Amino acid sequence: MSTTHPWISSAQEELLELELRHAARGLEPRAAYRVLVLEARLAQARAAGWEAGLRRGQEELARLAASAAALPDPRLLLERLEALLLGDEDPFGELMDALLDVDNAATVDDALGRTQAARELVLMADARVSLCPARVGALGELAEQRLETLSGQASVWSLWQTVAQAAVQAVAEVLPPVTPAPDSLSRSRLLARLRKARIVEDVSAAPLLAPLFAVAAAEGREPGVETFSQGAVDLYLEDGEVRVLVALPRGKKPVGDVALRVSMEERSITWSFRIWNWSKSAVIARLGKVEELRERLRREGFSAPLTRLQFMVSLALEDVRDDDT
Amino acid sequence: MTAPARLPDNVHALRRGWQREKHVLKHLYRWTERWDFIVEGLPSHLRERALQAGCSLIDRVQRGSERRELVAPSCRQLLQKDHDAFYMPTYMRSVDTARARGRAKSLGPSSGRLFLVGDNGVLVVVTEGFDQRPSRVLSAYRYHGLPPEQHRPEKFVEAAVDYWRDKKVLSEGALAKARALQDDEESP
Repeated sequence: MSTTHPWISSAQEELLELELRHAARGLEPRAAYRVLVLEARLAQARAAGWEAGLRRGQEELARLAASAAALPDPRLLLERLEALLLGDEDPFGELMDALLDVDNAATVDDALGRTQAARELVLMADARVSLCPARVGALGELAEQRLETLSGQASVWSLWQTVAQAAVQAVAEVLPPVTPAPDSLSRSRLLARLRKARIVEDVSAAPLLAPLFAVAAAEGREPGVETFSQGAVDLYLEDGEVRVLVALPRGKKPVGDVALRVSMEERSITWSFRIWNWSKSAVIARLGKVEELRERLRREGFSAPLTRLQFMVSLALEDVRDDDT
Repeated sequence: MTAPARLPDNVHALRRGWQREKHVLKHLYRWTERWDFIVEGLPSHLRERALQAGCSLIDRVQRGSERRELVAPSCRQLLQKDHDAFYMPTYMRSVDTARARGRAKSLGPSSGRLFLVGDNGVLVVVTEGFDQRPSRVLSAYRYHGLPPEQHRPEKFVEAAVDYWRDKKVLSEGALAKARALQDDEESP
């Protein structure tokens, strides 16, 4: 194949620019991530049969970038994508940006050998996009272009394929049914998949977290000690630290860490906590001492008063397979 | 190589009504977009100011809700005033400087859209304006994914240019493909 696809030549040109910039003033985290994205795009294109080589020295740049890059939080990418899919702003603006962000994250994950993470991200993004074909239908031409430099093995391939076919899907959905019918089976399945794929509970009212609402005060409010339950999530104190127990639905197992998302009006952060103890029916993660959580919030730049602070616990799930032990 | 996008001389502002009001609430008032870097005289505490004017929907809109809502008259007045005084001059500056920098590009043959980034890092989507219809701004926003410690004016411009470049490249491919198809149809 030729090397004339604009996606490839643009990546090569931009890499050269970043290489020169790196030589002049080093790579900041965002620029380092961009290097990873561009290198990964070229790797994808090579896998799809294009000539998309790196110049001498660019492999070294990629190695440096891998240690300096700030990787995005997939949960935030998905939340942003979902909000924009449900909105009505022009799809060529922020919505297309959000799809490119998911693409970049999955592309980098693939290149770094984190195929499972890439597939999970794309699966969740794809499920959301599939529910809103009318929102992305206009982006079909751009999606087709992106697909030209992807092999079917790339994790993000299915997402752009969904976008490319969305216009046809959207037309099918707005046509009147031949006979009155409920939601299509595929739509019901997608909805069910989304609902079953993650536990998300708001634990903002937990007495244990009360001191975090006065994060900048020299002396925090005394935490309550009683266990707080919200849906599948319990928050309790043990050995002086806050622990979270997430009950697992039958036939499900956890994927990844327990996440605590902290948000306040215009910004949010997500902290991951490794699963410390688990059984078939529940997992437990240790969030640490209340004072440690206050300190983390302080370091993140949250300041008092935080009356509108919100804490969400979430855990991704997948089906238990027969071969799981 | 495809021809550069034709950006009409006269680009109209965001349409009056909910779209304009929502954009001011969602973008100009969103702290993480840091409009204060590029708008001279922009008041501080925009959210509190909006709440005082009765814009109780600001948090819902900023969290992503795009449901059309009734806007209190006092809120509407503030949004209109801030649009005219701060938001519109800034996104129009982006349109003008994008023109000078050659950063205006069609988003594909059937999109009817141009995507621009000016020297202040405001990303703008406008209609191409054909059949004597005026070109109009459909969306104007700034990148808002930078962590606070990286909030510097040039970082917002760099991020905006990255999006612009990616969309430009994809639309160039789409335009080239459309031309090739047209040539095939026209050849004997």
